[in-house]
Amino acid sequence: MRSAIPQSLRPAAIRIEGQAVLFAIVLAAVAFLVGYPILLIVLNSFQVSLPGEEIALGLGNWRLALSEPGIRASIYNTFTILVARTLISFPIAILIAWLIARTDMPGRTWLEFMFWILYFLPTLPVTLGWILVLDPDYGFLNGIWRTLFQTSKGPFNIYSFWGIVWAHLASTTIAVKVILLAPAFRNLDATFEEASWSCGASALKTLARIVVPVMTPAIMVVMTLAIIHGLQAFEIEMILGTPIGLYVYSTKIYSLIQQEPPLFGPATALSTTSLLMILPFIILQRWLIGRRQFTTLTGRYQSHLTRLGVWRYPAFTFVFLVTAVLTLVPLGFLLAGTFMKVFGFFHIKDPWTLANWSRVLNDPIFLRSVSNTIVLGAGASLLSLILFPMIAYFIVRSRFAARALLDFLSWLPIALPGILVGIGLLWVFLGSPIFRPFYGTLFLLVLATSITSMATSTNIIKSNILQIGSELEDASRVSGASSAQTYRRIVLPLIAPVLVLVAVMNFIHAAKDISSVALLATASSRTVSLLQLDYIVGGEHESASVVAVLVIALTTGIALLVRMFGLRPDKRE
Amino acid sequence: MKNERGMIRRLSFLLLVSLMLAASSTGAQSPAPAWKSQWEASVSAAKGEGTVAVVGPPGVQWRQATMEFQKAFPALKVEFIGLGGSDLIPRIAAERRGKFLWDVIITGASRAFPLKQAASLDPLTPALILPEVLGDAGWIGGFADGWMDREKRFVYGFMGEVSPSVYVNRDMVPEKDLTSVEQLTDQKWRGKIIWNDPRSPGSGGFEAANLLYALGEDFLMKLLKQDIIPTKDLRQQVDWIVRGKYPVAIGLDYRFLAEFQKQGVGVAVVPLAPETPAGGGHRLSPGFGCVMLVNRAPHPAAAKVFINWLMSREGQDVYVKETAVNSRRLDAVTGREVARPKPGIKPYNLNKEELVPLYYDKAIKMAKEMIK
Repeated sequence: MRSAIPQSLRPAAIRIEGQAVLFAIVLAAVAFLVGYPILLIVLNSFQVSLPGEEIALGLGNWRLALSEPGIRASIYNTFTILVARTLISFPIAILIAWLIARTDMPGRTWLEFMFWILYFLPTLPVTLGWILVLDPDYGFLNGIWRTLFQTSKGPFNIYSFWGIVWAHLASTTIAVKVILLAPAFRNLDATFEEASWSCGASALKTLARIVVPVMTPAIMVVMTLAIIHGLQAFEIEMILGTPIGLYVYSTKIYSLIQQEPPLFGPATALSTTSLLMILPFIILQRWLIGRRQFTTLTGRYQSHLTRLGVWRYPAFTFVFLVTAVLTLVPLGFLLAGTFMKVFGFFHIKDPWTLANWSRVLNDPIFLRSVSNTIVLGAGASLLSLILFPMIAYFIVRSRFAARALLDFLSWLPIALPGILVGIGLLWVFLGSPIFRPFYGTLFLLVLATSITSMATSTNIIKSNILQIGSELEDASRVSGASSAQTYRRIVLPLIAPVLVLVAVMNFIHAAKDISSVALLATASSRTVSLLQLDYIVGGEHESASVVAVLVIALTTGIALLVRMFGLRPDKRE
Repeated sequence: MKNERGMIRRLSFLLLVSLMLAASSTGAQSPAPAWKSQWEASVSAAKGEGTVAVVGPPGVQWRQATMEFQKAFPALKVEFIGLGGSDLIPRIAAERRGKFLWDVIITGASRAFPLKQAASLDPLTPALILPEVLGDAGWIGGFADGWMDREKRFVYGFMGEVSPSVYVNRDMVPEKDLTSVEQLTDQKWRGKIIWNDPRSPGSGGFEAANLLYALGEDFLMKLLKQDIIPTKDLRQQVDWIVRGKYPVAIGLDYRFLAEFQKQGVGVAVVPLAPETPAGGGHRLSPGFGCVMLVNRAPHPAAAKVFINWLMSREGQDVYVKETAVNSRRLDAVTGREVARPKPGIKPYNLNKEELVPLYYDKAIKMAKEMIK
C-alpha cells in the first residue's frame, strides 16, 4: 500500500540512507573495477623481478623508463602537438557545434551526422589515405602543384610536425569535439542569447561573450578529455613520426610494451608519470566547474534558433566544406581501398577487384565475429546507459564527501594506455572468484570495454547535468516523488539526447576496441576488431578496410535506426 | 580445388600413419612398438576431449593453417586466437592464477622464452610420439637442432628459412652500383635505407643481429650511422621501396612484398646478395614457427595429437602453403626457393636462447644508442 505522506516529507535520514547505500555500492564497484586494476598497474612499476622469480621491489623500472633516449624531446613534442591541435580545433569545433545546434543553418542535422561518421572511421586507413594525398614525393596534391607550377617539389609534407597535426585534425580531433559539444549547446536557454541581441550584440559577439562563457563546464570537460586523449594518442605519430625521428611520450610507452618480453614495468612507470601530468587538468576542470553556476536549462527553458539571415548559406558552405574534406576524402579512400588489388596503386593494369570483399565475407569466422560484436556493442551501450548517468549524477548532485573520489576515479581509465588498463583488468578478473568463471565470455568484454570508455561517457553526461537547473528536481520532490523517481522521470528525460550519444559512442568504442578484447577474448568471443587485426598483420590492408567499412556501416545503421525511432540527439521532448 | 587438395592431404596423412602402423605390426611375433599404442591412446583420449585450444600469431594465414587440423581430425574442433607478444605474454602468465584456457602456443622464439621463465610451459618431449616427427632425417640439421631453448625441452622451431636480409629496388639502383651488403656503409647510401625499426623486436632487430654476427660490430655501427629511416609499419616499408621513395630496405616482410608482386607491382624489388651470410643466406630463422605446450592444458591429449600433426609432413605442408614460410622439414613443400638453405652450407640460428643476448639483444641496444 502506498504511503499517504509524500516522500519529500518523510524523515530525511531514511531517504538519505537509501541514496547513501546506492552511492556506496556505486563507489565500491567503481573503486574495484577502476581504482584497483590501476593501483595494481602502478604498483607493478616498482616490481623489478623477472617472470618466475620471487617478487622484488625497487626503482629499476623508473630509472630505465626515465633514461629512455629522447624522453625529454618526446615530452616537448607531445605538448607542442597538443597545443597546436587544441588551438586550431577548439575554435573550429565550437563554431561548428554552435552553428549545428543553435542556428537555422540549412542541412545542420545531416552535417552533424557526417561528423559522427568521421568519428566512426578507423585511424589507420584514414592516415594511409592522407599519405596518398600529402606524401612529399607521390602525394596527389603535390603532384597537382608540381604540374600547375612546374616545380620539382610540392609544398605539402605529411611526414612533418604540421603533417601530424593535420592528420589529427582530419581524423577525430575536430569531429569528437563537435559531437560532444553540440548536445551541450542544445541545452542552452535561448533567453541568454535573446538578452544579448536585445543589447545590440551580433551573433558572433553573442557566441564569444555569452554562449562560450556559459558553456564553460562542457567546454572544460571536452578540453580535458581532448588533452588526455592527446597524451595517449600514438597511432598517427607511430606512422608519420617514426621515419622523421619525431617521437611523442605515448610512442615511447608503446615501444616499451612492444619489446620482447614486454617491458611493462618501465611502461607503467612512464604511464604513472603521464597520470601525474594530467592530474592538474582534472583538478583545474573540477575547480572551474565548482566555483560558478552554469545552469542553462531551467523550467523556463526556450530553445529558439538563432537566425543567421544572409549568413545561412555561407555558414552552410563552410561546414559542408569542412565535413567534405574531413569525411568524404578519407571515406572515399577507405571505400576505394576495399576494391583495389593493392591499396593506393591506381596505375597498375586492372587495379580493381571484388576479391577483398569475397575473402572477408567468406571468412569462416566472419559471421560469428559480427554477431559477437553486435552483442558486445549492445551490452556496452546498455551498461553505459545504466551506470554512467548514475555516476555522473552522484558526482554533480550528491553532497557525499566521497563524490570527489568518485569523480577522480571516473577519469582514470583514460589516464593510462588501453593495454595497461586491460592488463590490470585481466589481473582483477582472474584474481577474483566472482569474475573468474566469466573469463573468456562476452560478459567480461562488455565490462572491460565499458570501463575503458567510462571517462568520456561519464564526463560528458556530467557536463550536461551541470547545465540543468536543480529547481526542476526540487519541484519533483515537493510534488512527492522519491529521489529515484525524480532521477528516472526528470533527470534522465532531460539528459536523454546526450544518453543517445553516449550509447552510440559506447557501441562504436566496443566494436573498435582491440587492447581489451585481445586480452580477454577466446575463439568463441572474438570480435571484428580482432578479425581486422588478423588482416592488417597478415599484410592484407585491403581486406582490413573491408572489415572497417562493415563496422562503419553497422554503426551508422544503428545510429540511423536510433534517429528513425525519434531518439535523435538533437531532439528534446 | 582447395577441398580436393585438403582431401589428398588428409588421405596422405592417414595413409602415412596407417603404413607406419602396418610396418610396425609386420611380423606376428614382434611386439607393437610403444609409440603405436601411445598414439592410439592419445587419439582416443583426444576424441573424448573434443577440442584443442591454440594461441598463434595474429594474421589470417596462421589462423587458416591451424584450422586445417580439423580436416585431418574431424572429431576434434580447433579454437584459435591470434595474439601479439604484448598480449600473449601477460595473458598466459595471468591465466596461471587459476583459469587455464589454452593447450598449445605457436609464436616466435623471443616471445616463448619469457613464458618458459614464468613456468607457463610443460616440456614438449613427452608429447612427441610419431617417429616421423622424431626422426633426424626429416629435419634440416636433424631433429635436435630445432630446439630453441637452453634446456632443449620446451620450445621447438618447426619452421625455418634463410630469408634475405636486405632488399633493393633495381629500377632505382642498377646491379653495378650495389652488389654486396658491405657496400651499404658507403656515403652514397646515407638517408636511402629504410629499416623495419631495428630498435624494436621483430625482423628489424633480427636483421641487425645477423649483420652484427656476419660482419661485426664496426660494420653495424657504421651502417646505423647512415641516417637510417626507421619505420614500424611493415606495409609502409614495402610501399616505399616499391615506389622507389627509398631504394634499399632492411627487415622487409616478404609476405607483404609478395602481395604487391602478385599484382605485378614491385617486381624489381629483389634480395641483395641473398647467398651470403650478411645477405641472410646462412642464417636459419623459425620466424613465428615455434611450438610449445602450455602447462595445465585443458585438453592435453588433443594438444599431443595437434602437435604431432603440426610437426608431421602433412601439417608442415599446410603451414608452408598458407603462410608462405618454409618448413625445417626436408620433405615438406617449399614455399620460397630463395629461402631454402643452399646445399653444403650449415646454417646458424641466432634465435636460440643462448645466442639471443649475444647478438639480438646487443644489436637492439646498439640501434637504440645510434638512432635517436
